[in-house]
Amino acid sequence: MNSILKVDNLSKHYISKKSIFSKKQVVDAAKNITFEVGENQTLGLIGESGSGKSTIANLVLRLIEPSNGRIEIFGKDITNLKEDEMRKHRKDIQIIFQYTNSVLDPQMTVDELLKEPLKIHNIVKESELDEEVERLLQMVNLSSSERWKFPGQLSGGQNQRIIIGRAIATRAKLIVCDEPVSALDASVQGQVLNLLIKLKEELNLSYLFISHDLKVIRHMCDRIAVMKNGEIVEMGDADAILNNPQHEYTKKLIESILDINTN
Amino acid sequence: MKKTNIPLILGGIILLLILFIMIFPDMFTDNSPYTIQIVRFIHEDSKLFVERSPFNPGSDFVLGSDDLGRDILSYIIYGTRLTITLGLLIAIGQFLIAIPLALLGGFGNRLAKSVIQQFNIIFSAIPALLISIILLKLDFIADLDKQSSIIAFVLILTAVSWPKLGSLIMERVEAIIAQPFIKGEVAIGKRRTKIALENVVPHLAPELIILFFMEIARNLSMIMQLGIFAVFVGNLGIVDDKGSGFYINTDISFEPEWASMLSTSRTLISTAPWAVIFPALAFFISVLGFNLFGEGLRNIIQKPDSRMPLVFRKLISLDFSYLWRMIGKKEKIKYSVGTVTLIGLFLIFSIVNKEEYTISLAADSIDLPNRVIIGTEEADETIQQITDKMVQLGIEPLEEEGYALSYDIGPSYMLKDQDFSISLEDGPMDLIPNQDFAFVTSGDINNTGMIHDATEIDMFSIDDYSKFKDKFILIDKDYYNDQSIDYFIKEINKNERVKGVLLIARKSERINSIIIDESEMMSVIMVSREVSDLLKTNMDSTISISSSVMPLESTGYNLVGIQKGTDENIGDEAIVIGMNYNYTEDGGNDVLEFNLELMEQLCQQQGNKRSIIFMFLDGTIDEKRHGVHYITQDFPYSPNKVEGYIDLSGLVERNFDYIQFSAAQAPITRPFAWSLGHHIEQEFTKNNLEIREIQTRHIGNEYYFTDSQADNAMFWEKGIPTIIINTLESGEETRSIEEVGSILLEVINKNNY
Repeated sequence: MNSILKVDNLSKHYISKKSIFSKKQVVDAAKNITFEVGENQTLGLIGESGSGKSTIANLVLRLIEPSNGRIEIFGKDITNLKEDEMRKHRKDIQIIFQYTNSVLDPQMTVDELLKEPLKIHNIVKESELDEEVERLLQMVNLSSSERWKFPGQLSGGQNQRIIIGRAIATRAKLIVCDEPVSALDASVQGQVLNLLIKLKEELNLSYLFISHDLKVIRHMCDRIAVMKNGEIVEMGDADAILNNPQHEYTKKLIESILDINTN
Repeated sequence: MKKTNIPLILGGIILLLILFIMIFPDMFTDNSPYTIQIVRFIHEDSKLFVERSPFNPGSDFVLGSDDLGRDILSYIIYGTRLTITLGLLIAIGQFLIAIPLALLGGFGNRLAKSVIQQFNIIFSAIPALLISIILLKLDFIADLDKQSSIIAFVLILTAVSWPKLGSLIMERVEAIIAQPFIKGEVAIGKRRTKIALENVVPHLAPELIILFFMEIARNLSMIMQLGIFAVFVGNLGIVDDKGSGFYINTDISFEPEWASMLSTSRTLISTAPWAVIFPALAFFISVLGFNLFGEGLRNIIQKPDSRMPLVFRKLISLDFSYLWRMIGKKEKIKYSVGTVTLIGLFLIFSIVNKEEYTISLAADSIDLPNRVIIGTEEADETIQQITDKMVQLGIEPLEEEGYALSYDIGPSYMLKDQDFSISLEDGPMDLIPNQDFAFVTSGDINNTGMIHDATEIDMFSIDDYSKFKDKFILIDKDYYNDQSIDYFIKEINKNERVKGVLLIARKSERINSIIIDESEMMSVIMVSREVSDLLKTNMDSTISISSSVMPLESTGYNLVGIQKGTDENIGDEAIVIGMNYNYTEDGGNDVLEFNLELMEQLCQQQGNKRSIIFMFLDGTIDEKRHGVHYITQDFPYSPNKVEGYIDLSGLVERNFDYIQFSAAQAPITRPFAWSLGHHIEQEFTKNNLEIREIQTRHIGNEYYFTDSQADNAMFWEKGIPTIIINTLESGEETRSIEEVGSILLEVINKNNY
């Protein structure tokens, strides 16, 4: 199996000081994280809020700087790359955010939003831009009439599709999905998830899928890592973890869902 | 229903008004802001009252006058330009510094951030007002001239006021950067600079525009506060009249500007409140205007669904076609109509503005002789024509004998023929009259002889003139004054038979003569420097001269008439305009025609409150017989009543290239003439007429023109402040005196109230 993303011993800690008299306190947002995402594979990261899932998403994309450890994309170490060099690699690894209505510049039309990544990374020729935008819209199941609208005029689900469209526009192989559906209506959730699955098959994508929702994880993932307090407490194949959890925390997590179901 | 945006409309109206006043100040007032009148006389119930400025608001001064008797209304109106420009320039300066630093700081550049923070701390600890007062009161800055004073003012006020704006913008930048969509743009691989330009600036721009107007308002109120502390721009350094010759700075500005008005008049608040209240009101209204406009803009462009950031992004990336597509058809029409109306308004204003003061020489003109020379028949003929014109215009003579005041010029002759040649090794060389040489004294003479170079000798030390016998003596005029030269000539004439005297002309002296004194024996000839150099290198060559002359009548005539002022109080005060009517060449009649036309138009103008005295001077082509010498000897009007003399006798040709102008003899101690001269100079500059200074030399604090005695006569004989306007050409003849005439019409009319 080809490794697309490899994270080795990655840590991020913040130093907080409540007042000048108190002692320094080290807060570990992520601690000794190690995992790997293979080609056309989905790794689920699950854990309660504050467990460090989003920190990992941001670390992997170098949106925040790691304190320790190593990140490799396609075998290339990107841990200490300068922003200028890093930018070239950004087309290979994209992110989908949770808050669909605030991550798109409200003053840009869908057309501009989709053209932006194409222009930045020179994906297609200038003359083919319009054609490509149409194709992207089709791929994320949006109609051409949405092309001249602004994010504020679209629904959350539609916005999320545009974010996905922007992510696949760069021909990225790995997409980090940071709670992609948790802000959406239940009915839309399914559509977006199915779109992600469809795209995974069509474009041979890999996902690092972050969610606190076990159902969603179960639906999407090949492998699962369970996080608690910035650490991965258990990792393995999805079926194995869900059916036979080893760690106390994982058990609790699964039980809590079963409780809701039985009630 | 759509709510009307009252602040925007109100503010817009005020700003539009300010804009129009700035561009066309003369549409709003007929008075000149430079005119100073300290005392005025009022006839009431057959009693004469003398009143000293400041004058109450009334028919003469709509909003009253200040301590120097300057019209407050026109001062405010003309001051708009400088005051508002200052506010604007300072705001531009602030933004130029604040925006780049705030963007850098917002993106995490530590240096930029700390610069903004530290400056902000400094200037919030010490009030900016205090710092600017201290800095601007430094002698070094207070002594600067108008231009550099404006620059210093803007720089200092910018420096003390930008940090506040900088930290405000930086906070906004940080807030925008903290928004999630910026993270999205980073993740997609967009450059920081591009994010700054395409994502941050557009979201910032509406805020900036509003801030810009608010900052102008803030700057204006700062300028106002400084004015109260007697700090203002355009502080004119004037020479101390008490003889020390020092430059002193008063709290009076002679440049129209609002803050200076406050400063000049702040002590008058109880006696002449209008002098303080109106400029303060002007400040208040414009501050209000800018604030309201900013507020109104906030109402439209900061609505949540506003698309202004998009518009700015497109403007930054120069993508206009997109904007064009974005605007609806209805709005397109609305905007176009608005723009067209505005442009139309400006056009109408500027056309209306232009029409008022123009002078042009009519095609079918009066029949004037080809040349007019003092003491000739043609002169008599011309005098008759000018007299007719004066009668026709209702101009009254000043003396009982009529318009023409005669004077005796002594026996005078006009040159008929003249020749000057030098025999050089390669044959004789003929010199060109009125360029290389000019006779000063001669008769029907034909002489040949050698030269004796006396340029290296002190003429005073010579007792024996015998060595000059049968020779031409070369004397350099640069070393002696006119009286000495007259004395030498007299001595030479007395003692020996000398063939002639060659005087080397002074540097800027005109070599030109038509009329000469008679001498049977000896000629006095003025030669150019080039000729003298030629003679000096060929000392052994002989020169031959010949001339024939024609006697002239020995009487000259100055034509003087007055158009009485309409105002019962200041009607006795007069502006004198001196013009010439002598000319030697064909083009000269254009100038005479122009002079007549100027007189006619000045008479027909409305509102000549002061009298205008027209003087057509005879003999202007000849320094010695210049009419001005005789008119000053027996001046037909009380010199104390003459507020100023405009000398136009130096207008010699219709087309010219540059103007020799000097108001040095209209010093600030003679306020009316000073303001007249100042105004004329400003108009010349505005009309791109090239001005050259007339050479002057100081006597005490006053000026003496070195070129011509006639130029000095009025000021030095009669103490009448004089403004001199000469036209000179350098061969291209690009400008016409009609332009000068139009300017004079306007300036005289505006000052004559």
